[in-house]
Amino acid sequence: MLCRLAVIATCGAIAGIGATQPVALTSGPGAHTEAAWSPDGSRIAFQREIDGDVDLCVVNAEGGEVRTLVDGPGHAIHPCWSPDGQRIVYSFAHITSTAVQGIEHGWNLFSIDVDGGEPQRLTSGLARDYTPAFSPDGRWIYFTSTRGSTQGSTILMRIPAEGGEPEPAGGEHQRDVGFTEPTFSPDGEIVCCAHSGGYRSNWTLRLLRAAEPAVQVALTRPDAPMYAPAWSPDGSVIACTGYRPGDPGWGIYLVEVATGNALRVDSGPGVARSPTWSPDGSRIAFESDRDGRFQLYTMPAPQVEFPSVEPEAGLAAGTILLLEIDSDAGVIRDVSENANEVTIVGEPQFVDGGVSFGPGQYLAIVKPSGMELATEPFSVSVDIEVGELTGGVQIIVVGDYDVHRMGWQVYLNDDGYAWFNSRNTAGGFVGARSDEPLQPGQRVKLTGLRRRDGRVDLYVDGVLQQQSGASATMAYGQPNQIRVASQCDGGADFLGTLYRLEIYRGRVPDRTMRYLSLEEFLNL
Amino acid sequence: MSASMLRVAIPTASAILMAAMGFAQEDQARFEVAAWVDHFDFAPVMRDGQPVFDTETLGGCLAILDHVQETGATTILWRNCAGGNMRYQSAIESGHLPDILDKRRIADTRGLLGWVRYGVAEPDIVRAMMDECRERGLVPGIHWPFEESHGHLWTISQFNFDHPELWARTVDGRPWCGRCSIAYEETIEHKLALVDELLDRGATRLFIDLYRSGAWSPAYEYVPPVLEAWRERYVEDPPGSTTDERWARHVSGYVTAYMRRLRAHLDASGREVELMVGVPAVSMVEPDYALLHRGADWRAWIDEGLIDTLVVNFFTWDADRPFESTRELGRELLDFVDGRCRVLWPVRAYDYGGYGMPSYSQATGLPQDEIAVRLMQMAAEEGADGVSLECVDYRNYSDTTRPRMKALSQQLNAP
Repeated sequence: MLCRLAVIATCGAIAGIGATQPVALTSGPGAHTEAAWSPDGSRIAFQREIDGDVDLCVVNAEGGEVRTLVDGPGHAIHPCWSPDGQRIVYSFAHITSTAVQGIEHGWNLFSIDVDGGEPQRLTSGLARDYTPAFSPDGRWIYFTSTRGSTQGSTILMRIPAEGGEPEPAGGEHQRDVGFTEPTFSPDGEIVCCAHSGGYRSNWTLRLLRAAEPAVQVALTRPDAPMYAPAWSPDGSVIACTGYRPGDPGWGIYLVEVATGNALRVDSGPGVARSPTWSPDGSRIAFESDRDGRFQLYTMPAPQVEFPSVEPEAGLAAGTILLLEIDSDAGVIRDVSENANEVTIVGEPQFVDGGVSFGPGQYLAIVKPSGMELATEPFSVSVDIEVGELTGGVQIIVVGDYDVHRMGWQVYLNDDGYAWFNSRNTAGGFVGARSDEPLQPGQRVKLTGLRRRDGRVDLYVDGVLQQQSGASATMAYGQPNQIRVASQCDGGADFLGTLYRLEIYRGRVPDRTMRYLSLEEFLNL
Repeated sequence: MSASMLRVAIPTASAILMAAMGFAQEDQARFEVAAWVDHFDFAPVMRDGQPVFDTETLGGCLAILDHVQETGATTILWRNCAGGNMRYQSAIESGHLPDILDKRRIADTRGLLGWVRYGVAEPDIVRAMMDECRERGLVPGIHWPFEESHGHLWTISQFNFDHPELWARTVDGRPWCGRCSIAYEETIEHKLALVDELLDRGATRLFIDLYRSGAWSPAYEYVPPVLEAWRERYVEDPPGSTTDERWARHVSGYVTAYMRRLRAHLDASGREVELMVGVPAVSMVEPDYALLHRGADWRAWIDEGLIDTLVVNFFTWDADRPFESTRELGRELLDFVDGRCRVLWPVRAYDYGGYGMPSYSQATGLPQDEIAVRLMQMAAEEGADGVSLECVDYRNYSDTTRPRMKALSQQLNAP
């Protein structure tokens, strides 16, 4: 039976909800963590750490005696159940030598019958394979892996349930970028994972189409770090570990899949982490250190009323430049009310709703009217496909002013990272950088925002990037030109495809920034 | 009295002052050659396809020390951590690569480097090396960067991961996991507990390296207590510019408060432990880089007697007059310090920031060994208390440089 609970705070996209007091499930020696509920709802598997050794254990869902399933030297962690409830897959390592003397093996996946017996090795080799999860149809085991990484990164990989060669299943290796902890939508079509965009990035939740994992969308934002997702059996909510400023520490959050709105669950004192759902969705098990060491608890799953979020007011009237590309006619127009003239220099190729630039080819909107921004906030949004990365800077669009020839810019740096920059009153560079370098062939929407207080932010496909800048308070009069696909006086050619360019007064609505909105992603 | 005579007199006065303050004079070379040693950097040294040093074993670390001593080092500043992770058997913090996978930490996957686990190595590496230094007549010290992450997600510590409520914050209030704010008592207590672990292992120098801050700066200290104190003091919101001098000075109050706690903690330990602080881009023009980007008001620390040794990470010398401008900057600094603490002059193999020996070499065309001895000689002539070597990785100081430095070190320390 679901327990209906009141929403106790509805301000903003994240609020808190109350719950009945959790019930202790375990109270044994050591730290008990990483609970996984069995498909029939009768048992919970977990890992137990005592004196640095980690065993795999099982306990009845109502509590009682703990049965050790995998013991002995080494670390057996991250249990997950097969959909038929007959097997538990986990990650295991027992490293006894120094790196020079030779590591015997890495962290690999093993499988064991729930009644015990000899574990079966599923993966091998000097890599780290962890946080396994079965696809709902039982055919695949997805997991986090460092395979193929050379600079500290993880992707999702998968193997057939009976074992086999690992194959990539989501994400690409880039330094310090992590795709971890896969969990499936009940229909198996979408994978949710924790994602870190790079060094010091906060964990966020990300959705990937299982059949086409390159199609992704961010579910949560880095303002409130979240990881350890667990998809609810009814598919509407994802439970996870999360934190938002003002919280006392990590806690259990519920994230509405349809909107990305998040609510913190009142799980009592102490830190609460790593939730798992009972198969009927009525209860959540998790780990908490409320009594000084991590033990397992269960509580009724709150029936949540997520606060509705008012759509941000449209800013169509604030559009001061909007380039639309008619690739059939080979024409580019400014369809904003300013209707500025667009000059095409060179012979860029018109392709499928966009225009592809080569060396020396660019667009110029000379002395555009209606674009005096003064010190007001503004946004620049480009929908592009990244072309060849040459190792040099590529200017996508630049605002050329008397006060500074490179007043603001959206560009790709020589290392592939995307930037939006504006200027401070002294003309100094103030920039915001993408969390990850862009890749050749990547279709992406970049939106730069200069806020009223001088902060500059960059959004990539609607996701606010970690690195931002401050004090960009330069006053902009009428531009000498808006130049697209090269620096204001030539060079730094953009060698990709532009599909759309928009410049706004004020802040662009979220939905405008996304190349693929959450709604669109879910309806694919 | 000429300027040079005055400078010769300063070390003597400094020595008397330090003796009065109870420093461990018996351990201290007259001209200190302090070698920073990051044994992690020795881990990937290969010869004929085989690693030269097994940095997880005592034997491997002794071989590292042998190499370091070829520079004539008198003090060893052994690196204790990678970001927030400790490189010894810490009881309160995660090790360099945790023994048990933490799913929030993305592992280092580089060859050997990705699998070294100093946190479980036997014997405890820091304890063993502090003991070994003492056996060899070297001053045993610790190089502790002022950071909780060091370029990779795997360097973020357990304490940091466990306490998002203590994380630093950006100007727009976003949590920044790179570091727990030093404005919180819990953060300071954690650091002091780590100090105790280092003292227990026999370190008699504690060197806080402010250059390595893990990208932390006052731009990440927009945490509630710091904001509240600002608003109480200035009755307005903090400036939007993260390098605003007033904001940097405000944040520096918290860094100074930490230094006071550290000083008091060392004094209360009953041990003679010297507090050394490394300051980058030393300039006598305020506000300087250290203040704006590290919240480090090192002048105030000297005025207040908080630190025993100022380690100059690097001078921002003039490329047109490399040695002359270095000498002038150093002289200016020594004039300011005026014997109130010891000063170590940089003879720096690294070139981060562009002011190390590679840049001297580029500016002068001189080889490294010549630059190294000139800088050492200059430091001695100007009355510095010694030099700091950042960092003695394998052959960072070349095969020709090390013997010349050693000979000069022995000459400067000859009875």
